[in-house]
Amino acid sequence: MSITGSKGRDLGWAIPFPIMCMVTHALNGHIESNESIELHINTLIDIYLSRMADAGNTPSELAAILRTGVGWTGWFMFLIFYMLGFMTEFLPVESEVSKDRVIDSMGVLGMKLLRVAYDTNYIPESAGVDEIRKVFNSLVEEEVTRAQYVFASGTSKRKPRKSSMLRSANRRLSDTELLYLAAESMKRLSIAEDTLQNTKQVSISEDIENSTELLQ
Amino acid sequence: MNEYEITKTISSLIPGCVVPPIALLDINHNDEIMKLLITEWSKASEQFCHQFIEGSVDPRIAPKIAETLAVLNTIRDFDPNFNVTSKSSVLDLFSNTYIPRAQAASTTDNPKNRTEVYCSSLGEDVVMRIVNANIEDYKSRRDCLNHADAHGKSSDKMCTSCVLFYIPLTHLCSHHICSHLMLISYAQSLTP
Repeated sequence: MSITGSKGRDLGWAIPFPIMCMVTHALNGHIESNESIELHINTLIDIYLSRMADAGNTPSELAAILRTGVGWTGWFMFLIFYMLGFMTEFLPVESEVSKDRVIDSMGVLGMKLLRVAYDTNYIPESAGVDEIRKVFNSLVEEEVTRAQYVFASGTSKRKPRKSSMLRSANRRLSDTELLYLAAESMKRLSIAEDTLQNTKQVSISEDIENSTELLQ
Repeated sequence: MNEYEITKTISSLIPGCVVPPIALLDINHNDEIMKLLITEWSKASEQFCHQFIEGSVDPRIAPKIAETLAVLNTIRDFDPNFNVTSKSSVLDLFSNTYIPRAQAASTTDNPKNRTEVYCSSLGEDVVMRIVNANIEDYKSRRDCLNHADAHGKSSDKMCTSCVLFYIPLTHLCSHHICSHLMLISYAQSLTP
């Protein structure tokens, strides 16, 4: 649903899931998988900012747009991935421990990216596009490298890359079916007592299984 | 202007990236007020998120997404109150989850993970200043129209183009947050 909001927010929302996959691939020892994702993110930012410049935004406005985008990337990571655990169900992780590691990584990185946007003691208000971009890239790289080290220091062997489990099912997963199941789940969701335990109660994995049955 | 009109506008400005709408219908069923948006069939074969999961992303897609979002974000003639009533449901999520959990992470004496270690090292004042500034951004800023759902799971891909599902009521996101927010707010937010 569209709403009125800040320029850059949409850009910010398009980036978290790719970054979460980058950390996951690094944790699995598949660092080469990150090349095309990194290219995707950079192209997205380059072209978006270029079009915003074409539309008349000044260099300082572009910096503000990028800063906002980075902040909303952080928000998505911190609230949606780390706090709520949403969208983590299809990650190509090898174990629950690895999944928790990725989610924790999203929490740390999310808060750091929120700082980039909203803490002028961290990044000065006068910072330009290049400076903000540099900080953003280095923070992402730091988490990816850390995940790489975790893999390298562990005893697990490099396994073949996992195919998307949705693709492996050889069918398009329609979210429309999920809506009805989500609606049922939401009846059980108490926002007032929104803890990790509650989040687990509305485990989407159950819904996926149910929706698969519905589709058959 | 409503969602139907904006979807139609964007689909004409960026052909192939947004599914053109056909009709928006009112439905009253079991005392529930709903709307049914009928669109043209999307030629996209599957959700874009697969490519990130598999680590093999088609480089032709990012430019399409960036163009589409930029076109939407640079529309000048828009109602600053467009769908503004839907914000309350997200603000509830902020009050009941975002704020208390950020506060807890920044004040804990016994951090359980790296995130809590980092947040507690920043301290409550810093973390809550950041969180409140972020919330204020959401509440107050009305610079442009936002797609507000442009993540990997709400877009489908084709070989040469990307379809951003700019559709409010067909619930094309496969995760609870979007469905949740839409369930709460859709009845009040649109005009036929």
